[in-house]
Amino acid sequence: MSQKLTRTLASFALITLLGCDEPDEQTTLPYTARTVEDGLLFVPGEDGDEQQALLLDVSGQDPKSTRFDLPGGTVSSFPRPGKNGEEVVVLTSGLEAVRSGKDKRAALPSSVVVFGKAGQLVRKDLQGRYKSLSLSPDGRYAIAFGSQAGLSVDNSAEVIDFESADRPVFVDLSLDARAPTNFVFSAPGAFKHKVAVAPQPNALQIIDLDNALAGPISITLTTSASLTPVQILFAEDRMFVRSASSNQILVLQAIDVPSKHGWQPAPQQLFARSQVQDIAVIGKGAAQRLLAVTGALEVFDPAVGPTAVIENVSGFDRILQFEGTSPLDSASKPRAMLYSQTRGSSQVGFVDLGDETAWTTRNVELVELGDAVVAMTPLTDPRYKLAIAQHSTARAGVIDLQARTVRRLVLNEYAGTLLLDEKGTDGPQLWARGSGGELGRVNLANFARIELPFSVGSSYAPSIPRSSAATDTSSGLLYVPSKVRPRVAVLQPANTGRVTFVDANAQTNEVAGDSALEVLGIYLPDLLD
Amino acid sequence: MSWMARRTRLAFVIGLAAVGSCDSDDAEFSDSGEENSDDGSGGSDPGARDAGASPRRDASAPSDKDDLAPEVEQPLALETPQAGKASVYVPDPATNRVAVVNASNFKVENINVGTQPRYAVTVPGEDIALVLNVGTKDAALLRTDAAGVTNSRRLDVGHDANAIAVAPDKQHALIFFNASLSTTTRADSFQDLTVIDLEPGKEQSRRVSVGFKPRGVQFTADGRRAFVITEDGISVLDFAALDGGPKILPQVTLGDSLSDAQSIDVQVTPDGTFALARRNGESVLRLIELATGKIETLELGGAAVDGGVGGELTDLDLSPDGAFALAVLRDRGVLVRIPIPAGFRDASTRKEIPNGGSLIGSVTLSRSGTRAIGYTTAAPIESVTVFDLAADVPPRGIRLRKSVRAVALSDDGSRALVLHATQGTLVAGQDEDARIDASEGYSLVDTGSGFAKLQLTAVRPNANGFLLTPDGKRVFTLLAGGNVKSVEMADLDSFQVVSRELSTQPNSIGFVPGSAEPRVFVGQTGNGGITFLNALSGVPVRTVSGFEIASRIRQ
Repeated sequence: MSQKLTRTLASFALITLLGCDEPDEQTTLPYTARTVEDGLLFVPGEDGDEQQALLLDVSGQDPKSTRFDLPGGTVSSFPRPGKNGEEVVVLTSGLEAVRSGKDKRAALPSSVVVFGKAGQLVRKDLQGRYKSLSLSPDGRYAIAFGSQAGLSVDNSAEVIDFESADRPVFVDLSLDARAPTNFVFSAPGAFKHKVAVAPQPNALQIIDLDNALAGPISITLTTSASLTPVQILFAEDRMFVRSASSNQILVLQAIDVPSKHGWQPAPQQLFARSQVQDIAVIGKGAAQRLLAVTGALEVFDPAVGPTAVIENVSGFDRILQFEGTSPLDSASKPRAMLYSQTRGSSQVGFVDLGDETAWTTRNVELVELGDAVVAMTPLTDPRYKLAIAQHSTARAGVIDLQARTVRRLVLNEYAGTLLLDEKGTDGPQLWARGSGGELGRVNLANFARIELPFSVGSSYAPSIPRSSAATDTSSGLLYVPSKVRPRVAVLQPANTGRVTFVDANAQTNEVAGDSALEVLGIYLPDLLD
Repeated sequence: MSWMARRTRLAFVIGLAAVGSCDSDDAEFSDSGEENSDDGSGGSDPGARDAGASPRRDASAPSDKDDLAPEVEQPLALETPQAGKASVYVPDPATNRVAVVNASNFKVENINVGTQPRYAVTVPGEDIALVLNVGTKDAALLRTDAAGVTNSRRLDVGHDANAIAVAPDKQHALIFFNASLSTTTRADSFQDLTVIDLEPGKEQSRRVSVGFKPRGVQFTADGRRAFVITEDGISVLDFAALDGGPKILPQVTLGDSLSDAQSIDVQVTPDGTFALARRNGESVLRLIELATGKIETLELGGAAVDGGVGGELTDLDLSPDGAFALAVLRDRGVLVRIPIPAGFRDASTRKEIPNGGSLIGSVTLSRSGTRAIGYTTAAPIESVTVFDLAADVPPRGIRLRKSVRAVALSDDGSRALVLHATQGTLVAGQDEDARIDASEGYSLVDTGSGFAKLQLTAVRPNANGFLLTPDGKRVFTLLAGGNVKSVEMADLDSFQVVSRELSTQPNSIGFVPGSAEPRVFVGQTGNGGITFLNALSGVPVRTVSGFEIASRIRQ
């Protein structure tokens, strides 16, 4: 599934537990709360040279706090991918030199610090000053980029390997004068080589993470037109690049050649019948196929070209792959659900994948959702073949991908913030917090619902500064992982400095005794001391 | 085995001629029809025929730009790929490079060659290509070694050029401007010809002058001499004498006077002794002794089958070994077999063959010289006639379902490919016969049994889009037009046809003999690249594209 499928849109936020691929966002909040195992890490969001992070440990009934000095500069924080919300990566931008006065000091470069339950786990000091950070899906690598300093080269980056004792590697990305805006990493095992790709209009810059010292592999896609890469998929020895408003899919196959990297990308272009809205890869080896949603579902053998076209899917622009049964087939096989995120369709379509010989006779089964889809979030836990469709109204649909049925979930007063907990002992839980302070949850396995007698007051919404990030902590709900007692943290208005922790697996409507924990004054200096 | 074909005043070459290998003995496949030849060589086969000065496809015009999706980057006018032994050479005028694609491992090399490389021809059976740079008016000689590394050497040309012909001995190539190849490209000079020495280590280019508007080159079978067919006659080039010889090539007249129509169907015997020529509307065949310029004539006119006076010579084919010519006298209803040169001197050696009751104005002779197919393109006749030249048997008519546009024969003459003409317009709801008549298509014919299979196609098969595999067992057909972009493979044992969809429209086809498994490549328009197919199964093996992008990868 493509990364964008786990992202959230619109007026409310749906936060996945395994949101390792959440967008990297800076926050303007004075503090940003991130989860670690059995606690929260509060990191400052302002510039400064003596800033601290506060680690709140709620593993027991008595919360404990610990402060950690942070390197100077603006602080950005990110959930560390691959760690299930147990670790946080902090980037500090460094400081300019102070050239006079008693505080005279040299410039301070950026640092990247990893925090966990035990506090600071890893610290990597960089050579330059950066304002942005991209993290690999497994959390092993980070790339700092986007210059923060004067007299610095903007189109450069530093590659950090958290598992290596070596210094971060400086990488010159001077294919042209443009600076990278983000990096797309290959997931572990997804590609023949570990790479990070910086997509730019008409260009790709590939960093070989196994050999970053060899410099980037730079590819100019075109010199005469406009190709803006918007989606990159990795599969075996190929990477597939989709560009905006284009019928072209660029395939870069890694072939072994004597060179600095020992390999090079061999380009190939696939041409769909019309603009490609989404792509997916299925199969391995000679059976590998690229699926392109173009108004039809076009099937390509990446080595050769088009092999089949499934018609009558013009209302869809996204594809969600899964492996499971169907109402007519008890065998678990590759299948897909097609849906629309921009075309306004209120339907989804199911199609069976995998059997090349049957492509041309493949039928699409349509299921009505009742409303157009704003966002589609599949559950990542393979035990649950479910996807949550968020609609433009304050409603959601829970789609059973195997039964091909939909449960219509009315949110009403809960149309505020959603949090998806896939690790619930009784099955996946969807937590909802209304803008009026209501808190409840529904079990997505049996649709049992619990409405908690818990309110944050009506002043909650306007009193909390909001960022545009759907995953930002200002959304108010955070899942705190724990091996013993996972909790859901409810962030109260900043002016109250209150955080309420609710037992994620509580079986009653009561928020009392051991099932809840409230911490006050979290934003106030020294209150917890 | 190859397909033996014929070109008359309107002729085109299909098959490897499209990839500049009409001088390959393995896979030539040509026919007569409504377009002129060919690949730019202007006809370099020993004994090949002259098509005359006819309108023809513009090989120099930017091609296929209209086929690219608007949202994709600017299309490239990639020129026709050329097949070597194991490599395919793809000139790319937009990047001034040639992409060298290894057909076994699909590795791509991008070689800087010069400005606007538009034309390329490979040396048959070798990974050697000669590329003509139109912008810099020079040529690049590319040699790819066994390790897959290509070296390039620039050679001066210095004049307008759009055609390359390689001698059969692979020692020389000729570069010239063939005015009949282009209706848009204008040259300043029409009488320059560059001789390229291909011998490794001795590569050089030398310029000579020839007659006005050369329209083709033919070589002796040993490659020692070349004959440049021009409006002024035949310019004779003796490679051995080039160093000390004249820089204005000696010219042999075809007997055309100022008031005469130009000779057509000029064909030189493989030993270079004689040339044959005819003129439109005449019944006289001429035999020119090239060493002396002596011209002998043969009047073939006589009583027409309708009782009137007839005898216009409507077609002429020289056998591949040059031993005899086959002349078609449509109005008289006969074919005449004429031994060369005895048939011009002794009437008893000539043999008239009745047409078997069918209207025959054209003939196609197999490379073996033992079988010929007679037909007409002048009327909607839905049949062809098989002539067995090795046995004294009457001609045999074969019924077809559509009229004939062009015919090609396999080397041994056992199989024929008939391209059909259309009649009427496709209209929804019309009856099946009318639909068949109005449709494009071709027929596969077993000339021995007379079995014919009609295969309709969604579009007219590309004139450069046929290829017979060297084993003679399969024929590949390119289909391009509108939304159609496919390649068909016909099994010549079973006549079963399978179709493969391509990403973009195909525009060229060739055979790569040296790859690990026999492969056919299909060049495609725009950025479509090259698709390699298993020559035995027709299954696509790999598409290689992105040559321009590959040239811009840095590490």
